[in-house]
Amino acid sequence: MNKTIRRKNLLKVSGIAVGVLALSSTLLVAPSQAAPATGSPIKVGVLTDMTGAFAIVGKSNKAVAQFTIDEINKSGGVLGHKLVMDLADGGSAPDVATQAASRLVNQDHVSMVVGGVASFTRVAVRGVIATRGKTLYVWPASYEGNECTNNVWNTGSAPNQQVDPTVKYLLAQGKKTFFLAGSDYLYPRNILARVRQDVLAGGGSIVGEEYVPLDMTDASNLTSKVVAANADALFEVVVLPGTAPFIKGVVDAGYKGTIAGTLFDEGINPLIGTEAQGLIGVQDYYGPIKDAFSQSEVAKFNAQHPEAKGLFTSTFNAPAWYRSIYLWKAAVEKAGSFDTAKVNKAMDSVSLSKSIGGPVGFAPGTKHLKLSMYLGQSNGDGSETVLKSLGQISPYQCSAATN
Amino acid sequence: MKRRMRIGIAVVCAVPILSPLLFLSGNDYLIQAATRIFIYGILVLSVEMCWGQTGIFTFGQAAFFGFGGYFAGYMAKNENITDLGVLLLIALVAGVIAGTLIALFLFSGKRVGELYVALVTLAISYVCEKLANSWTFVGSGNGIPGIPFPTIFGKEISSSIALFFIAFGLFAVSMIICILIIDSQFGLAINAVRDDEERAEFFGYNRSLIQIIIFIFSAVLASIAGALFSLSEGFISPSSLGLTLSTSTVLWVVLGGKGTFYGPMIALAILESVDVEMQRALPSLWRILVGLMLLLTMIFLPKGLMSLGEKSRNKREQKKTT
Repeated sequence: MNKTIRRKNLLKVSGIAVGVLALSSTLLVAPSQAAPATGSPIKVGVLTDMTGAFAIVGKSNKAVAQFTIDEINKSGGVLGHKLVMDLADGGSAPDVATQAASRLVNQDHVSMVVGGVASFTRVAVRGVIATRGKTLYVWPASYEGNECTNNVWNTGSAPNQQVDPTVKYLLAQGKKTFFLAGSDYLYPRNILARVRQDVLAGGGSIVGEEYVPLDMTDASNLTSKVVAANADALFEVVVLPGTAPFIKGVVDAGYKGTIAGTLFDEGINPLIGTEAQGLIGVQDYYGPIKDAFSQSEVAKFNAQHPEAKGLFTSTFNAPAWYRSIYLWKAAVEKAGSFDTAKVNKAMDSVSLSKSIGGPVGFAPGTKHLKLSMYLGQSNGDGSETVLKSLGQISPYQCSAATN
Repeated sequence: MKRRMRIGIAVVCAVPILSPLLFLSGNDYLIQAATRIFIYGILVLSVEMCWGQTGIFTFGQAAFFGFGGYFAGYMAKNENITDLGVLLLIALVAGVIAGTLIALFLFSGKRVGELYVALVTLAISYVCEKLANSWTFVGSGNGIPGIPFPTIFGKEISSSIALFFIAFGLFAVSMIICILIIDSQFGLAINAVRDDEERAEFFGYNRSLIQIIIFIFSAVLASIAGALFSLSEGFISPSSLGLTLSTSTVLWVVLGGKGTFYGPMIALAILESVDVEMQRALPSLWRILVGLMLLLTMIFLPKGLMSLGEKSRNKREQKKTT
């Protein structure tokens, strides 16, 4: 009895083993990788958060990537190749994002990857994509700075590009005392460090600096500190979901100073409501900027992607996504090849005379862009008024970080 | 030799025989995915030992996973300790310390309910995630990126195939140890505690000590899995400590069938291997489907997918006897 059972088990086990063997051999023989044949499509890896906390940003990113790729294909593609979008969901979590990034690089063999919403995604995936994967990675977000890894290119604004002109404006308006408030993580801390430096250099003073937990929604404690300090200006980098309750609280409690920050535009203002009136900030794009190319492109975008209408905003990184793909295209054409090393070399000095938000170009050696920036003021209805066009501002990053 | 051990040895032998297929594909993504399955496999083993075999409903096992991951990652990155053996030893010690503290708190007194244990462990996992998220020392929300590859005798282990075999080797050793424990006299005692704590105490078993030992053992397994994760992925972040991973682990165990030993690992292997593709095909639906699957399993197959096999075997045996 026992023996027959064992024999049966042996049969069963070997049957399963043969089955698995057969299955895996069919599954695992992946198509071999070769240099792109003439006219064959080129995969562009698009990594963004389609699910989770940043799904709204992902919706905008995906639409912008598709819009840009369609536009490039319509005008003949890149070196005679059509582009196809290879979308991967980062799930608003770094462990999900690394898997997605690995799929793009190691399985789909994309030509480059653009994407990431939060900095924790960037630091998690850059190793998989740029270092271990030896694939070009474009990080399209305004962020805390200091990303100088080889094969990584930053197309969002660096702290100094947003902070310096904002503080300069506030000082020129006669603001002398500043209160700094932010969420407790790398981005707000780096931004506010730059604010502190600029304020002190400009002869102002800091009367308070407070950090609150990332997921704070009850802002009453921070609000009362801000109101009590009664500074001329409040520079705040409290991120979602805390932004709206904090600003509403401060305004409703009768704070009379000017509120400035790095995250105000048409994407965020509606969440704050009428209390958004008068918020000051600097971005690489606002809806009403006087640039014919930007106006017509965004109108086209809204027509082609009704699902993302109104999501083409700077805080959702839309202009950075748009220029990322065009800058890469320019580098590929300059290098005459899709080879990572050659494109990486060419990236250092490519520029675009026309882009949404205005002309941009890499400042050689910095891995960051010289960006056209605008000083904006929020209105109570969610829109923005452009106070001033600031022209191109250089990034103080990587080799130029000492400024 | 018991059936469980025979299957265990078959798995241990089958993987190295089948793995060349994986390597021949030259697809690093698949190799990394397989590596991850073995790493999470160790984590699942730890939950199966606690919950499936001893009846300790640990709902926060990710806390130990992340703890080991953070410890090893921090040491490798900031203290330049990259030797794999030393790092695993560090994770082991970290697991013993964390496991002992929590086990003493939970089990040294009088008997506590299953739900109480679940809530406390869940809360610990939640608190750890929050702490890691706001503590600059361990990188706050960014976690620890850029963890260097581990070394063995000073030689860097950077190929995904080598990492695959390290993960598989540790998984195999962990699994065999677990089987040896379950098949031993002590294994009978832990199952007795699972089935009826009170009766086990009446029979003279030291219920409290048994629970403490198993809890620490499983904390160590989880911690080692976490260390391996941070070294092979090259980063660790607060989400590796938190609710999502904790619940995923419980999900694998429930879907596969807790107490069935192999069920949870099969569920893990199936779900993890289709996860990324499904996420891609049905981005907004996939998570809901997984949740639905879990609900349906709990209603119709409370013992998990493995009970399907059991049912058909019972039917066959009924036929034989009639």
